[in-house]
Amino acid sequence: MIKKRFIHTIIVLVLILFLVSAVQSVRIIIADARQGEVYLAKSKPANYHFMVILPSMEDEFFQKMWEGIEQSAENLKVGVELQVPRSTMDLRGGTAELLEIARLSQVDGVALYVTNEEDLKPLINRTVLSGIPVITLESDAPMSRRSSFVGSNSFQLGQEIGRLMQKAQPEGVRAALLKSEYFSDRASQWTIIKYGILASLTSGTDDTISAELKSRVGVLNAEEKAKQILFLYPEVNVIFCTSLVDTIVTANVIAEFRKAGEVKVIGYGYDREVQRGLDSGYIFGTLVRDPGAIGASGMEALVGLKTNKYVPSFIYISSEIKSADPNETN
Amino acid sequence: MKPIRTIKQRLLFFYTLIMMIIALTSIYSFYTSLRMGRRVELLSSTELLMRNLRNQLGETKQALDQFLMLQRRENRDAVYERLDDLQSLVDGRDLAYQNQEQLMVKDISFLLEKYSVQLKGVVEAKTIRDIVGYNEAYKAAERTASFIDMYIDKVLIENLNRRSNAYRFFSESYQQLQFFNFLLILLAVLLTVLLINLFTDALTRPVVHLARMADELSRGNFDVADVEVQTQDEIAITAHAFNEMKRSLRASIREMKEKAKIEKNLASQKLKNLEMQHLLKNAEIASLRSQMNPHFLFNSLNAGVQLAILEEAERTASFMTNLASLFRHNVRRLWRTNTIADEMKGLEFYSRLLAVRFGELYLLRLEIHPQLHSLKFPPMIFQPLVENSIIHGLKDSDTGGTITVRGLKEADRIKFSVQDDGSGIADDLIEPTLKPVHFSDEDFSSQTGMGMRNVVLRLRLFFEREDIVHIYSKSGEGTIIEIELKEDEVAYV
Repeated sequence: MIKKRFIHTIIVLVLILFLVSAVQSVRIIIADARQGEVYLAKSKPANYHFMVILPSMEDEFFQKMWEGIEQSAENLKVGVELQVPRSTMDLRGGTAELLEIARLSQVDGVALYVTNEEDLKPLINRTVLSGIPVITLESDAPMSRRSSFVGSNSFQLGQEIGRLMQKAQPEGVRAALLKSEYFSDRASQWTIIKYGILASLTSGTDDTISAELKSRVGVLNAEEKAKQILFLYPEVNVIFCTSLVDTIVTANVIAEFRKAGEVKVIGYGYDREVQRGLDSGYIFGTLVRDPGAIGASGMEALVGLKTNKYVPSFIYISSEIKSADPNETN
Repeated sequence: MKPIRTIKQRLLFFYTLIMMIIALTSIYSFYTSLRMGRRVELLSSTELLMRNLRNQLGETKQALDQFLMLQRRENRDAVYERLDDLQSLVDGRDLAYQNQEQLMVKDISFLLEKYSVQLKGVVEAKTIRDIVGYNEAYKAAERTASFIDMYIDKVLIENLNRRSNAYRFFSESYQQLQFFNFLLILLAVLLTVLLINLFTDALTRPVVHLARMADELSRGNFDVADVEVQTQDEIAITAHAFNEMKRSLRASIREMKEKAKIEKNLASQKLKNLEMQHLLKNAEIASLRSQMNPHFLFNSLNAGVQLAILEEAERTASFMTNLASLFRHNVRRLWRTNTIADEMKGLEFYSRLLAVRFGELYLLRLEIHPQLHSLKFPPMIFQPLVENSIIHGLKDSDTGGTITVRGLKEADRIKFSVQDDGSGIADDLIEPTLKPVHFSDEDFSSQTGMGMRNVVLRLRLFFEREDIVHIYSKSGEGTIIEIELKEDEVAYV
């Protein structure tokens, strides 16, 4: 009798274990099936096929912008194809090539970061004329036939930077601008930013900006440019960087040469390293844009254009100033 | 649900259950492996497509070059054929997906269409010898081909990334699945073994129990408990039949034992009857003999009485008269039912004889309860006992003695006794006197005290009990011979 009860107990235990294992196994299969869809290219059909052309995915700004785009695309049920110009080509040529491909592939819309307005304008126009709406993200080509611009108000951005410079050097600003290669020499955006800076400075004359250097993507180049500013332009007391990498590297160079008291760094973008620079005083302030919101709004604008909704020509996404001085932070 | 009754049904159910467990586990394991295989195939499909596409592109380019070089019709047809093949490779161009790789494949399909148009332009321009148009179209086609090639690379890179991530993910997932599948198989085997054990035990236990009980039964133990079977199958029917058989056998054996006992009793009774018949035969012979003797004896006694009267011997005449009466009484009792009253009457005749012979030397007292007078009793019981008392107990007494014959009723017992106040019986003579013997015993007649033995034996035969007579005696004080009867042994007239 005891033996029988013992066997019954064992059977029940084994059966429970068996069922638990089976349930666990099925759970794995279900989880696997859900997550596996991504890998098995079994994604859902999309309403539209947009192409997003960004200059690089190495910069955190564009990474966050892409995150915003992806999230918004998923919500809007559209397919978004990310394209970055070939590394073997220059930005201008690579972006032009991708715009041509977008036209040939008859995508439903294009969103791009304009690296060279003059060169890209005809291609943008040709694309628009072939029936594909084009919007610009953060960097605009206002003279083209693009449908809408989504990004920061460049003039306001310049004013914010100018005010920060004034605060950093109340006695008089002698600024050096370390411009990322993504900003074209003739890009109107950059010009507008500069206007904004000069307009907000009390002594806003052209000689306020002592130097304007262009940095290529990468740490080494940024370091080289920062050192150039320090040694070739000793009158410079404010350096404005236009990328996160440039900001961090420049702050490190300032620290290395113990110029923290003399030269203030105003950065672009925000991360943990930038916060550390702010805390230690090597970075006076930084301009924080919301690339994710820019990307998401860009997708909404494209969908709006495809569905014949009203889409403004300028969609401004507000920026934020972070400063070592808490009063300066907005 | 209808309960499973027969062994066949139970076995079928058990086997099906076990097969199901094993089969399900195997099918599940097979399914997961198959699934993994299909996934690998799915993951590789894009790569295969792209490689195929690249080959086809190369072949199309070669066909075009052949045409441009030779300008034959078959070369032109070959170009068109290749272009058709190329375009048929990629389909679904009108449908957009939320996936980079698929979106780029869609781009490729459009680019292929454009490439096809451009190549056809090249062929047509070449055919009509439009050199400018031919050059422009060729360059445009080359550029589109480079786009396609670039996109193929991008798709392959994307596919590689996807596959790397997928393999990592699927590998982890598959390892977990394999672990659980192994566990499932292990548990299924364990479960199966346990279930087989349980089922086998459930099936064989009643049979083993039945066999054990049957073995007990074969050893003659019919008091074994019933075989209890909880199931409703053939074993239960067998167990029920076994229990019935056991009960039936037990009843038969009991019946046989009782029969044997009865037969034994019957044999014993038969023996007694034989003895009785023997006794009766002897008695009959004795009776036949005595049929002649009484007449002769009565005549002789009557002649003696008349002679005694003539000679004026009154005592002799009286003695002989009483003797004749006693003989007549005793002879008459042989032919009808005898009672205590008859016995008492015989004793009275005998008492008169004693009085004539010995005067007042011996006193015979009869103290028998009147209720017992009608009790059926074997004849000639008390007289021999009284005779014994006089001959053996009182013969040596000069002053004579008293002999008392009593008959009492005590509760469910009836006691008769013959008591004398003589010399008593020696202890070593009492036992042989009461020793059960039969008339057929050779030494019956040769032993002393034959009258006494005759009385004891006749009483035993009449009342069918051995311990009916008791002798109490003390040297010099007398002897009591007691006949003890049970109320249910006697009958009344």
